[in-house]
Amino acid sequence: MTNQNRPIEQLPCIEAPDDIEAAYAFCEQSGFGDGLPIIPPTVERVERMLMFCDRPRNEPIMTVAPGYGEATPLRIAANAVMAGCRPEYFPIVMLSMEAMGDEAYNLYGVQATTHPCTPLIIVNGPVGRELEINSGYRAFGAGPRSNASIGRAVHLCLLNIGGAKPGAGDMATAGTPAKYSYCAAENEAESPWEPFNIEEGFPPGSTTVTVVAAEGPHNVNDHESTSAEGILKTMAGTVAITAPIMPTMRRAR
Amino acid sequence: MCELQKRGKATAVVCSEPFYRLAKTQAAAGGVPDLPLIVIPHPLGGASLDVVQSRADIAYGQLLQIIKDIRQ
Repeated sequence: MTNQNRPIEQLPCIEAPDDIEAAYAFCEQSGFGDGLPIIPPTVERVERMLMFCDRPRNEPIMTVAPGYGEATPLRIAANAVMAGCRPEYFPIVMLSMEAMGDEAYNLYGVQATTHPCTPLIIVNGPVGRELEINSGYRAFGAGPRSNASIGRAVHLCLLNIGGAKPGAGDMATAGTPAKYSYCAAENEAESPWEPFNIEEGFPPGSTTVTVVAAEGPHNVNDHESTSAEGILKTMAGTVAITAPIMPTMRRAR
Repeated sequence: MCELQKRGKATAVVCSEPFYRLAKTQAAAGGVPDLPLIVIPHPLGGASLDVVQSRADIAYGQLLQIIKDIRQ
């Protein structure tokens, strides 16, 4: 049996308590996590997550700056369990990680910068709808388990695998609450434009994940304009103070 | 810098004080945990010419020490 396919028990693991409060305390003492309670990533829970992954469980799909830890499906699955993901969310978490491994994304820059940006995960396509990833009212939180736990799983990977610790790997001067979780779907049904992934050349009906190093959400709000010029001024004024970094995308297989 | 150091070239990285831990983390991740660091006070952005000169003086002293250490 190759190392890639061994049962989890035969791979390097950390012994930790599986009682909820004891596991939470263990994370706090060991420097894991984001400060919020976690679901203990027991072997059984991680195995259930990996049922939604067809890749070798111990083969890195990317390295996570700034510590350059290897992101294997096994490690990503453990973080997805900790974040509260349902197993069926796991492919979206994997795609998000893979997208951030693209050199063009500049994950080191995103992780280590003093700027309060963090990966925003945008889901397009039918899988996002099946998973009920919120694209409507309060899409950026708080509320639906899918948005909350998928975004949190990715951010836990950045912390636990990438070592983005405040002041050591993450130099964000003030940070942003979006570093806890930042995931939404595009509201394709109500948008007057083509879905973003179609605009980018992916085929109709495809599911994609886009990761963008973004600041927290900023409302574009205009209650007074009665002309296109007025609305455009509001839009321009808002855009002028936001500056997302180039996105990278991955399509679901 | 880590790659140059691995190839035996004398190297050093200048960083300001708040970035010392990040620099150490990166040096370790790059396989050179003892990469020489020249540490200067923060900030540098927006500093007057006099302040930049004083930062350079601080860096210069450390640079000389690094060169002396290499020669020994």
